[in-house]
Amino acid sequence: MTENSYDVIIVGSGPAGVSAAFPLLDAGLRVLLLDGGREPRLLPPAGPLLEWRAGDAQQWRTMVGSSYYALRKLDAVSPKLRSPTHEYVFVDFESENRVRGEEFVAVGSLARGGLSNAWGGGVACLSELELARLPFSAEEIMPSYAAVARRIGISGAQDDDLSDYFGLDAWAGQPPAMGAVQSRLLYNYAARRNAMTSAGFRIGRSRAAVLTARHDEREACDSTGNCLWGCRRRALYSAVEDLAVLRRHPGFSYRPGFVVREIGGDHLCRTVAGDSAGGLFRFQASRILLAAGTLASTRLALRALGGPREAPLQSCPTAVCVLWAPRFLGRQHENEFGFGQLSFTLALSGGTTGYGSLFCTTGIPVSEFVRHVPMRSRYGIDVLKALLSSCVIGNLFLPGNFTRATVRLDADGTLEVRGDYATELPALMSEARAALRRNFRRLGAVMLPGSFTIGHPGSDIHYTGSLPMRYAPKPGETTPEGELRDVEGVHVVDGAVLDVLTEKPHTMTIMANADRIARKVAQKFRGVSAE
Amino acid sequence: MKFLITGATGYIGQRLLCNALAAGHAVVALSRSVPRCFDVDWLHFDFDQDGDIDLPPDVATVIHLAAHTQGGVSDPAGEMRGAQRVIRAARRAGAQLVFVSSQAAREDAPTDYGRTKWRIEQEMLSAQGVVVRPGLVYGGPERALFGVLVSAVRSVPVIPAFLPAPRVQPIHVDDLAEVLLTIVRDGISGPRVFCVGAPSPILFSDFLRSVAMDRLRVRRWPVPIPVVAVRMAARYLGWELGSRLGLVRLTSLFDLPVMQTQADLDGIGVELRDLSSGMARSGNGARRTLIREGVALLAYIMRTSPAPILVRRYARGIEAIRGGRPLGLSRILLAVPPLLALLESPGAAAGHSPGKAGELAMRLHIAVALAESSPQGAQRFLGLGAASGAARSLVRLGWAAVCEAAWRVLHAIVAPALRRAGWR
Repeated sequence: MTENSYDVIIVGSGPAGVSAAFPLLDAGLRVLLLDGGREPRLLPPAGPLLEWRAGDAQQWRTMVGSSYYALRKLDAVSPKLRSPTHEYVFVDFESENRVRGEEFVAVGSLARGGLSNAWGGGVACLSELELARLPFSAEEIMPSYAAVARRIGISGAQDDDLSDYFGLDAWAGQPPAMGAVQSRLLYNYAARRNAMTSAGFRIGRSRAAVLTARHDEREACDSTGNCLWGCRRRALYSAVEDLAVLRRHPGFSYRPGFVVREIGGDHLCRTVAGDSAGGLFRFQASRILLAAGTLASTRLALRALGGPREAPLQSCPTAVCVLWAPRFLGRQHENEFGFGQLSFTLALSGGTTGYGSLFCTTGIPVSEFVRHVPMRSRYGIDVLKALLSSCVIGNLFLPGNFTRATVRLDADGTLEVRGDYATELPALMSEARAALRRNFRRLGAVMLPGSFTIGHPGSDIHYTGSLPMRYAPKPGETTPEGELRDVEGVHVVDGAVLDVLTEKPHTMTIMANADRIARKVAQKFRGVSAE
Repeated sequence: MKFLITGATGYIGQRLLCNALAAGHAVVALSRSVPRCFDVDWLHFDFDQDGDIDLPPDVATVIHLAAHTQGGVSDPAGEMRGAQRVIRAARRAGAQLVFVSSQAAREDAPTDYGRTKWRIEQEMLSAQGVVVRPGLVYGGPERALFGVLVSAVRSVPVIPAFLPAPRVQPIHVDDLAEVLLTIVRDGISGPRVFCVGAPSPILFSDFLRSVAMDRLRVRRWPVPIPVVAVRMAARYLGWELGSRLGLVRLTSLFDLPVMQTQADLDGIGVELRDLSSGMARSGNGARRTLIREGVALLAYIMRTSPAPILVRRYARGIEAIRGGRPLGLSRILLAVPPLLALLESPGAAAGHSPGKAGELAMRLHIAVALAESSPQGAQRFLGLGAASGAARSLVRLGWAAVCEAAWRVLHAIVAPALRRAGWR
């Protein structure tokens, strides 16, 4: 074996890549992990949000960016994608990986740790019923869910109406402190619980990959409220945390700044070729695990299959709205945990479930709202100044099958992503809007008129199902071990192989599945060496 | 492709030469003295000489700028002869002809200056030439009529507000150079007359005020002066002294025909900078105009005067991401920022609406984002450190609604005027 030869090469250091690495290393395999290697150049703020907002003359470098990044990215789908602290997460992905969205938001990452650097942290397990739609048993993935949850550190455990829905309280810590408005909503819910649950509306604490107790070097959330820009205390999980642990492992090699262009070789020996600062490089391994993120992995897989090809893609339709609790009018802003504090589920017609979370407004720039208020900005700001502290932001996700999208590998090697919402979506969204308005009114919050806004297709960035796992895969599909049919030795371990995209947060399932596949791959090696 | 400039050391000629070389053109300069502008082929040319001019064989275009002036005195006959020599030379070489004339050019112009320009125009047009009639050329070095006006404003404590008020159509010398270079580059052939200058004429006294404010940064009060008095002075002093003092050129400004310039500018594809930008010494006062614009937009949003650092961030931001061109807000709007509520149409989504209204929405968004990201903005946007409470917030909400409604009514009333001015 040459120096450039490994047992397994993992492409991508995001949540899927690092999750796959652990079982392989535990099995004594030599693992090489490749990633785009982009690193942050701007740290998130250190102190409590309102303190630096009130006193820091240089706060614009964080909020707007000294090269006006937030203003250049006005068309990006969410404030998180405009944050100058996250510029490195998204930069150059489309050009380097040759991915192009047509009327579809196509986002990916070349960063160390991938998209998890800008993750909102929502976690959930698929239910047994949902898992039954995947080509493996629930028993097979539950240990992986447990391993991932313990490793990354999650919180939000509470004996509430969403406990079963999230299904991971066994591994979760206490939820972070809750703000006044959301506490009141939950209190009002408790008083009307029976009526509301029978109307198909449930509320509970959000389960999230945020620490509420110290976890090795990472500190617990202290509600400084800077979540949008990132957490200095490292309470929010990013795959970078796992990468740091992996790098201490003797069997682990890491090659950052490497963009894979091609998968080659045969079933005996696989190669990846790609660019690094020093030029073109080639690495060999018995097996390749693709964890570059659904879009980039799909492109590499389709190229390995040879020839132009189409594949389906799922993504969750989304919406946001502003909910106003009049009882809190005139309240002073307070520092609060910036991501979901409360979550809800909503039963819609046809057995569809909607899921969403509520966010405190303090940690979101007011300018994000001003341009959506149908008033002159001078007076819009007056209104928001008076109103926002008594508002929460709600988001909504619907299952991925309501997006009809496809990816297509063009003759020139570009992956084109196009798609639209299903025809039944507008009606479903209207129903959801009405139900949210009705249910939150009962809880004492008014949905501000005109605030319910449906996101662009793809703006959820939950892309899955392009290379679905099947018991009997057809060309372009994968085995239950994520192995690409007709390209032996190449496994896909990220969202691309999951063709069950529910309304729930799906990142934990991607990570657990990567862990599950890696365990299977490790078994194959054990089988070979036993022979 | 090579082209030749006569009068390359003149006010317009020198800027044209520099800009042409900077744009990578090969240029031959034809002038009395060697142009001071770097490396250029030079041919001697003097109005007082006779005989043919020998053009280099590869000259494709001749731009005729030279005017016969000696010690400030013009010589119509000499100028005419010189032009004819240039035309003959261009014809022999088969080169395209471009002549820079004047807004004053008319058959029945009251001055020799205007009549001479008109006669040369006729010769040029019959030689298939292109005629460019600029309005009042300004900016750059203080030379020619512009130089006379600047030094007059500098040395006299008042600016004359002539009655009846003459109007001018200024064009920055570099914009004129761009017009000429575009005509050369696109190979536009004659006979054709292009009128270039500000599409809507401005008062001559406003032009002088801009010289004072934007160029010299001095305050000058207008003093009414009847045009008749200037005419009489010119007549009394005689042609020679009048020419030398610039009175002849001055009187030519008094009855300029209004030029329709918009179509010609659109046709050539050159957009003129606004007067206050062009008037600055750098020739690009955009930064200073942006600073004023930033002060107005930020004050409109913040309801108080913005910190200077915010204004600088705004100006830098507009340069970095919006091309740096000022919006062109009027003096009243710059002085009374709350009036911006008349122009802002909340329907115009930032970045998604075309035209001036869309650009204003975009810039207001930029101002909002920058204003918010400062300690001053944290107070304004989050109410940090200020008294709050339900009653106060209710009053704030009600008042904002009342103001918004009032501005909507006003907006509707002035809608036709806004539409005319391109704000809708």
